[in-house]
Amino acid sequence: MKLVPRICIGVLVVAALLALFAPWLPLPDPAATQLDRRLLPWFSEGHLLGTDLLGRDLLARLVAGLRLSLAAALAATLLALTVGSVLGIVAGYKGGRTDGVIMRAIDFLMAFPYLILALAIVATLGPGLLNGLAAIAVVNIPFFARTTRGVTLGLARQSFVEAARLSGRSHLGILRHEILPNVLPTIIVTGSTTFGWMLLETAGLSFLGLGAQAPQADLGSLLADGRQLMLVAPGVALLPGLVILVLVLALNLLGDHLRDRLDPRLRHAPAGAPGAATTVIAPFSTLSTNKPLLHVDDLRVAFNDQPTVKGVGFTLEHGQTLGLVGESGSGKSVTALSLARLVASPPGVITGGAIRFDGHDVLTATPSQLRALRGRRIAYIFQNPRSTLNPLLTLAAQVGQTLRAHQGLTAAEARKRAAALLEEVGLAPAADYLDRHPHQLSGGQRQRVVIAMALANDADLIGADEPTTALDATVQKKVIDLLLDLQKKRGLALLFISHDLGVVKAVCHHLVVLRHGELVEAGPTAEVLANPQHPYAQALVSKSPRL
Amino acid sequence: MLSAEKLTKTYPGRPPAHALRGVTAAVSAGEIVGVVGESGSGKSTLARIWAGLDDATGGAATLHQRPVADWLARDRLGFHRRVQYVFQDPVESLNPRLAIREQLATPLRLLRGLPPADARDAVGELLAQVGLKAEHADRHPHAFSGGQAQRIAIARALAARPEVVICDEAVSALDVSVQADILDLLRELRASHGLAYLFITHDLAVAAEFCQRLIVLKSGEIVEQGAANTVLANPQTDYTRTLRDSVFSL
Repeated sequence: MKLVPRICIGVLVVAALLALFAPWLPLPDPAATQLDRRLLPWFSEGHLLGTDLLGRDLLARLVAGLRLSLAAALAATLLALTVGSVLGIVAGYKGGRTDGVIMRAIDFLMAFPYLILALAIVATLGPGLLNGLAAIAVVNIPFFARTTRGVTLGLARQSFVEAARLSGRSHLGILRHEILPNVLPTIIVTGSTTFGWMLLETAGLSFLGLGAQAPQADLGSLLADGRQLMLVAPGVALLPGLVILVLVLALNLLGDHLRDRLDPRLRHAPAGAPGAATTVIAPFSTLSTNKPLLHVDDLRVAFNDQPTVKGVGFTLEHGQTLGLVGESGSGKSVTALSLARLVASPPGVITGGAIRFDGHDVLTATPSQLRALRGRRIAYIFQNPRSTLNPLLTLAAQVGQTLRAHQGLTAAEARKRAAALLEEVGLAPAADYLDRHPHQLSGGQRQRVVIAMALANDADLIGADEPTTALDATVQKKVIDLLLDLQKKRGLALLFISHDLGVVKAVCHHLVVLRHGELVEAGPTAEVLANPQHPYAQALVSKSPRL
Repeated sequence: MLSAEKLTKTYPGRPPAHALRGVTAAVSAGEIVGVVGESGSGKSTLARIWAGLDDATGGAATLHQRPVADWLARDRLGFHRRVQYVFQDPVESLNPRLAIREQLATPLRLLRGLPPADARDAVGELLAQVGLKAEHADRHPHAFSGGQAQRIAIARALAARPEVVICDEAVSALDVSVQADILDLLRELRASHGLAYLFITHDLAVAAEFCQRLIVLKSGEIVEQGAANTVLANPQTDYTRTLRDSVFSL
C-alpha cells in the first residue's frame, strides 16, 4: 500500500480509538466548569491544552466532541446509505412505474439547495443533534439512491439475473443474493467518500447552533464557542478546526484510495493512457530490403511480461490473402495489430522479431513514419462496425475525415471522393447515403462503410479482423464477395483473421494456424485443409461444422 | 409438449415493431428443433416467450396444453423445473460475484427441493456431468474460459432435470473446437436425460449437424419447417435457399 492511505488509516484509527474509549480515558469531566481556572494556556497543570471561557478542560472537550461528531456522521451516513441504497436498488430493478415514482421523489428532494433543506428540517423538528443528523441523512439520500440505481439498472438487464429467476429465485432473493453483492462495492465506495462530507455537514449545523446543544458539544459547537474568543485565546477555536480538517482530509483521501481499489472500471485500467505506438524492446534481425510487400519474422509480443505471440513469421504479396486462424487468445489480433504497431502499450510490448512492410522497417519507424503508414498504406477492418464508426458523424464526414487527414482534400473534394467510395462498396446511389448516420444503416451496410474507409487512401494492405463474424450468413456472403472483388481490382493484400474455416477456405490463398501464440501450421489453404499435419490443425478441420 | 398457436409479439413504437406475426409451432418430448433465420427474424423472441422471459402480445404459448402465463402465475417453480434456458453469452449469464457452488445449488434447492446441505454437495456431481471437476465449484466465474463457463451454464439448466432446454445461440460465442465439444455434450446429455432441445442459431451448418427438425423464420413468420435434412437438401422457399447457399462450407 502507498504511504498516503497508510497515514490516513493511522489517523482514522487513532481518532476512532480515542472516540471509542473517551469515557475511560484519564481526563477531567468535559462538562465540569471551574470559573477560577478560565482560559488557562496550553501545558497548564492538569490541563494539557488549557481551558475554555468556563474553565472546562479543552482536551477532554475535544475528545468528547470528536466522539460525538464521529458518531453523528457515522449514523447519518449509515442512515442515508441504507435508505438511499434500498430505494436505488428497488427502482433500478423494478423499473417502470416504481422507478418513476421513486426517482421523481428523489428529484424533488434534490431540487432544494441541500443546506436550506437541512435547515428547514431542523427548523421544523427543533434544534438538537439527533434532528440535525436526521436532516443531514435525508438530504444525502438522493446521492446514494441515484448511484445505486444506475449500477442496478445495468445489472438487472444482464442474463445472470434472468438465469437466477429461472433457477427459482424470487424477486427478493434476486435483490439480496444476485444484485446486492454486485452493488456493494459501489455502496462502500460512495459511503466512504461521503462520510467526510457528512462530518462537515453535521459540524456545520452545530456551528450554526442547530445541532448539538450545550452542555453536549461536538466539533462544530466547539468551533462556534471558540470563535468568540478568536482574539483572546485563538487556541480554543484553532484546535477543533484543525481536528475537523485532518479528519475530513484523511477520510476523503482514503475514500479516493478505496474507490481506485474497488471500482472495477478503475481497477483494470493500466496506469496512464497507451502511447502512440507499441513499445519495441527488440534486437532487430535484418530482413531483405526488397521482395515481399509484407515480411514478418519471428514476431514476439508480450503483455505484462506474459508472452502472447511467440515467434510468428510469414510473408504476404500484393493481390494475395493470408488467413490467420486460431481460437480466441491464440494471438491472431495481436499479430495483425502489430503490423502497424497498434497494440496498446502499456501493457503490450513487442519483445522481438522484425516486420518489414514495402521496404520500411516498422519496428524502428518514427511516430511520423508510422502515421504515414497507418490508414494510408495499412488499413484495418474490425469485427463490429457499430463500434468502429463514430455514431455522431454522417457517412460523408466519416469517410471524408480519413481523406482529409491523409490527402489534404477540401471538404467538397472529400465529399465527392467519399461518394465514389460508397458506390464502389455497393452503397449506391451515394446521394442516398452520404448524409445518413451509422444507426440508420443495417449491420452489413455499416461494414461496407468501414471497408470504404479502409479503401479511402488506396491502402496496399488491409488487416481484416473477423470482418463478417457479426453479420448474418447472407450478408456475410455479400461482404466477402465485395472484398474479393475489390482485391482483384486493386491488387490488395489481405490479412484475413477468422475462426470460420469455411470462410477462410473461400477467401485465403495461404493459411497460418496459431495456437497459444505459436505458429503450428502454415501453407497453401487447400493443402492445409485437405491434409493438416499438426494435431491441433487436424482437430480444427475435423470439428468444423459442415452443411 | 411446448407449443405456440398464432403467437404474435409487437413492440410499441412508431411504427410498431412486429417481432412475431402469428407463429404456430411445437416441440415434442425428446426432440431437437432448430430455429434458424437472419437477425431480427424473431428467433430469440420466440425462445424467450416459450421460456416465460417475455410476454406474447397475442396468441398462446403453452407447455403441456397449459398457457405459460398460467404456469407462471400458479406454479412458477414447476414451470422452471420443466423448461430451462441457456444464454448466448456464458460469462454474462453467471453472476461474477458468486462462487459456482452457490449458483448451481440454487436450482437444486429451489426447483428440486433438496435441503441446502445436500444441494451444495450435489454440485460436484452436476459439474462432473458437464465434464468439469468437483473442485471447480468453489471458484468464481472469472476463473473459467468461455467454453467452461458455458458448461457451467448448461449444468445449471440441467440441475432441475428439465424436459426441454432452450439454447439461445448457446454455442455462437465459442471457438470452433469448443463449439464441437459443447454440441457433443448436449447430445450425450440428451441421451442420458431424455431431453428435448429448442436450438436457436444463425449458423446453418451447426443447425444441420445438430437438429432433427428445423423451423425457418423470416421477419417474424415461419416460411418453412420440416425435417432438417429435407429442408436443407430441398428448400421450398428462396429465403431458405439463400440462407443455405450463403454458408461457406469446408
